[in-house]
Amino acid sequence: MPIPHLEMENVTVSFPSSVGIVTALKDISIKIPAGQWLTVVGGNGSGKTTLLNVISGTVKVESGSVILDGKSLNGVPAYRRCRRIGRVFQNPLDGTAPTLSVFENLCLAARRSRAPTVRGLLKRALRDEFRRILAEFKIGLEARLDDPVAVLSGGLRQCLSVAMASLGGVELLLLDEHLAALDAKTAQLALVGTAELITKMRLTTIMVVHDLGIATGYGDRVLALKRGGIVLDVMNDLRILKQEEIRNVL
Amino acid sequence: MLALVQTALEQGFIYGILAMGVVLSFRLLDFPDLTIDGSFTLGGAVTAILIVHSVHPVVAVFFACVVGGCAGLLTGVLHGQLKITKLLSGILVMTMLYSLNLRIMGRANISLLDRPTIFRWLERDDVISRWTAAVLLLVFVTLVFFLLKWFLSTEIGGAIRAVGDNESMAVSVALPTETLKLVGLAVSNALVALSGSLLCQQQAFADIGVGVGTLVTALASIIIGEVFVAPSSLGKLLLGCIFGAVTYFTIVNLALRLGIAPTDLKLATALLVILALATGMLPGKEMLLVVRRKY
Repeated sequence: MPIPHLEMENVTVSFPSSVGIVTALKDISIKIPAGQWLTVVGGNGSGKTTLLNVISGTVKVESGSVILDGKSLNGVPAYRRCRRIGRVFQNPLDGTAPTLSVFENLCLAARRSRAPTVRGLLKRALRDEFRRILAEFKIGLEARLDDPVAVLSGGLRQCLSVAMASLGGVELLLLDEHLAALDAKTAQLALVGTAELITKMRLTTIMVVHDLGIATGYGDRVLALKRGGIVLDVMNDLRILKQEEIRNVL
Repeated sequence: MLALVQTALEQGFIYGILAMGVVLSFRLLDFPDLTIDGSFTLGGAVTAILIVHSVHPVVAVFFACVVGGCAGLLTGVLHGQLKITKLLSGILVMTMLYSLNLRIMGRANISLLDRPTIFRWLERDDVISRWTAAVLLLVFVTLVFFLLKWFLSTEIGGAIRAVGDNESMAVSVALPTETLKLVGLAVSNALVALSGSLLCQQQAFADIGVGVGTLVTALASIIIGEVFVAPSSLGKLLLGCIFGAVTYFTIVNLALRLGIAPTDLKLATALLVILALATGMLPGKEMLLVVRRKY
């Protein structure tokens, strides 16, 4: 068996709250091979978002470790992890800088593997590549390269977030219910565009979704969480998993 | 009348540099940095004491910028490492700087009347030479304008803007947000100290009280600037700072000539800013919303 791309080893996370200590993740262990697309489902408070936060480093593990390419990420600050991890948030406003142009946002994302320098931010040579990537979403974003992000609709902003999260040599993509705030038609376009990018760039992906239809219809493997523990972990690369099977364990 | 224009231009160019520094922290970095009341005085204090000790005025200007930048760094460290709020971090450093400035100067004010300044060596006693200060300051403000515009278009500059715009986005594209805040505050306060240094030399006088209300003057300049230049791009945002400061000091000098007491100026300036905040209808609204939104 090859080294898993991402591995979580006995990860436990808990938060203090008004009702005492709440355990968000309980002794989670999981191995994700390179290029696998994992969809994560679960009700509110099941620990889905905490799972992503622990990987991206915005939440610290209480015990256990997160391992990327055989190296522990414990103690590596969040921004540093993002050199190799792309992330899209649920709220379309979270993943983009509104007063910067689409092009500026993309250029910042494209340089994620190294610290910013005093070289010019805008890389003219990348414009065509960006246009090509944005065109995947078939939503007209490629024509808005020089617009400030603030004037874009939520759907456009979210598609831009996905494109940014895939740029700059990202190996692992974390999607946190990134379609939840979009209308049905836009969500469908964004989903198809996301799937295209993931397949083309062979990204290891963890996608948190509410919609069980998306969970079973996309990705290679389904993980169901309940009260911070794994209640279901099945391969679904043949797309034969039924929504009922998930619903029964949640 | 010509003298009025000359004074307004000189002061406007000096405070235009200040306003560009303030726009960097307040607007682009979204950091309401109150350090500047202290670092403005600091720029003048360092310049005055160095010139008194026979250091070349140009070297003195350079050191004023460096020391001002350090003051900004300190505020950034208080906020970033010790998790003190942005406002309080600035207030703490500003307060420390009051004592520190007195220590640097050794007394409450220093006269440079019989000392060389960057303006003095150009000065001769004729009509043309009266404008040399304005011309020299125009060179300074133009230089700062282009340097800052260039800086903001680099990867680091863009990253600083991204941090001020949306910190979670900045982290998600692997930007070291805490370091970038430090860089932004250092550059901002270096410009503020530069402005303080130039004012001290233009007046041939350093005073411990010169920084009081500096921030409000800068805000007023920025607001007025947006009346003339809509900040639709970085260049226009910075240009507005300069235009605003020149206009502000034209109004101030006119008001002084009409007999308003100089001691009432700060009251009038603060009232202007309050009016803009309260109505939210004056141009400059966007800038003020940034100021108001958080607090």
